[in-house]
Amino acid sequence: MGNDVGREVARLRPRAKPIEDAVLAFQSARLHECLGALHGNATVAAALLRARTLLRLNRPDAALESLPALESEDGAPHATIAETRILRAAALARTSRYAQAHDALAAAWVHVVSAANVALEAEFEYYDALLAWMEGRFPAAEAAARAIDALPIPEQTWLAPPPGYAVSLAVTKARALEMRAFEAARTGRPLEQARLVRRGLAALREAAAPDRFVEASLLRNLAISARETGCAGDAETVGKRVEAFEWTPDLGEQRYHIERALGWCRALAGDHVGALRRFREASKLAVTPAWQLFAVIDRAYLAEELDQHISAEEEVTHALELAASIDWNATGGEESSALLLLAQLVAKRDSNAATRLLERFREARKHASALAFAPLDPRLRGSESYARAQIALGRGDRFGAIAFFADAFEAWNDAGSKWRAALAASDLARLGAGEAFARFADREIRKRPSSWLALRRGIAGP
Amino acid sequence: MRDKPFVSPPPSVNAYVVELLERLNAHDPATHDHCRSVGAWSGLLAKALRLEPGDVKVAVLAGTLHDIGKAATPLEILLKSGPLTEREWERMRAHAGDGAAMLTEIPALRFVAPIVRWHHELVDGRGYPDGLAGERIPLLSRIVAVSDAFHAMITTRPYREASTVVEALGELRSGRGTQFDAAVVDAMLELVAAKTQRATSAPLRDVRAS
Repeated sequence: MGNDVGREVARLRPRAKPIEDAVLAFQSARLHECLGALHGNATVAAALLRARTLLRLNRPDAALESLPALESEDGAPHATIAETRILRAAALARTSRYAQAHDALAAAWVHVVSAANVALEAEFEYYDALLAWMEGRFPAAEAAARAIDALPIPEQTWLAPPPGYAVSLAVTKARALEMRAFEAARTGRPLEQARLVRRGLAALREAAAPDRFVEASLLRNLAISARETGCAGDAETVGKRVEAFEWTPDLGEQRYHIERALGWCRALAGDHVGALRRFREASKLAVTPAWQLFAVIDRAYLAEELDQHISAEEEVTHALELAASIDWNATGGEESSALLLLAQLVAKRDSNAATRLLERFREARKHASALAFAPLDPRLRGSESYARAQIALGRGDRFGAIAFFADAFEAWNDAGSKWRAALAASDLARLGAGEAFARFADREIRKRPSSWLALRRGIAGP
Repeated sequence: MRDKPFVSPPPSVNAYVVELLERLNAHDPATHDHCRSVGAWSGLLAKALRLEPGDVKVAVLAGTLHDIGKAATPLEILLKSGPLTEREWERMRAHAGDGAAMLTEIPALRFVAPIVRWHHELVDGRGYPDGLAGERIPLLSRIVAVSDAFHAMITTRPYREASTVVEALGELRSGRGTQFDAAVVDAMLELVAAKTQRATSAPLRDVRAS
């Protein structure tokens, strides 16, 4: 009788799905589905994949809980010990426990070498680079990321990773190239940023299995660099891929950023209707109110520049309501620059309100995550100065405005964002700050003759 | 200390290596995994000793193939959990010569055969199969010997638990200059200390200073 009950219980217990289903879901960026497929699977391989998935879902504490407590004395294979410790380091770094993350990586190294798995070695280097990046040791991060790029697809093919390893060498190479692209962006080299992202996408095409999560991230970065450089070719590449891409609910944030960046590419090309449509789409895709705010501000800005004042007014009101509803200290740091953009829009209407938005931005920035790129973005100084210039203008302080516009011009020009620099230059020209600014603005804006910038500058459109 | 540099392995060796490893894996997966690991460690040590890139590749190759002769060793000896008899020891020791003989038969891999043959020689001359001593043992064999011992110690085997990294390094140090080449041991101590500094810095300092 007891045995019958035991058998019945065993029969009714939900069976774990094969791990292959979970791996496929992971590679397709169906991350919640992956977690579901791993449910009830108590193997070490499942625990490791669960941790990877939770890291991608930005849940490092849950990832730490998921990792098995393996030590070499347990007789686990070196590859398993190494992977466990690398992922533990990644999760610890995400929770700002850098010293512990270093310890975990250091403890992984002997097992990484012993595993003789080049994909694992690449991941070790990648997380070493990421840790350096998060600690602000940018040259070290760059060097470690370069080392991955130098890893050959092994001519000694017996060092190839065993089949079933979740992240291939090609994928880690792509991620390392993306990290170097961030460094290029941080140091004001948008053309190099775009080149590295393109190489990252090419590296992904070499991978035996897709990694849609990493691909979406690279597409997002290519779209953003296309927005800054005005590279129509890159925008077209992203646009085409976006149409064919199998989007999943777990890629909502990436898709949102792509839509927004492509919207700006459309605006710079003079397709303002297309831009507004992209911004509306981005607004729908936004995964948080803070990200939605950006898209609302984009629409308000463009409407205002195109003299659609009623529409602009309505969007600004909506933006202010949204901004007031957000706990900015909890946003992680990437989103807070929306406050600068909103301050720029509001300054003409109410300079005191704009000043309060600027103060809120400064406060929010203190709470930024070390993984957030926005606080390191050299364009940020330009945005802040531009907002301060608009506030000065709103107060009738022409000289103050010139000083801040000039600083914005310099910051954006140094960051390689020529159209933004042209925007500041055209304001400076309007305020009579010098012919050189007028010439710069005209030269750059003529490259975008149908854009709102040309309308604003009074340069003939098509 | 440097031997004459070896030539880089020609590309055609890959197919042979893959096939040999597949055979070894079919015979004894644990020895196969050990060989891959020793290949990786040998390459790192060769790099740490600033050998030419071609020699580093040969170190990887020799480390990877160092126990290939065990494909001919009976499993009841390889996997025996109790102590081996003198006859069994003799058979076990034959793997170095067996491996070299197998590699000599493959023209593309013949140049690795001497390194494999002498990876169990000890610098004090008490090793096997030929009792070579000091620098008469090729440098790459001395590198493989240290890599082999280190990896064997830090890996759990059916008949014993793995040592910790600190214990394994301590063992290497106690055999420095007698069992193992002193410069190669020093390179291993430096290498591991540099890479694992944060996790085990104090114990590793102890090992290096003792």
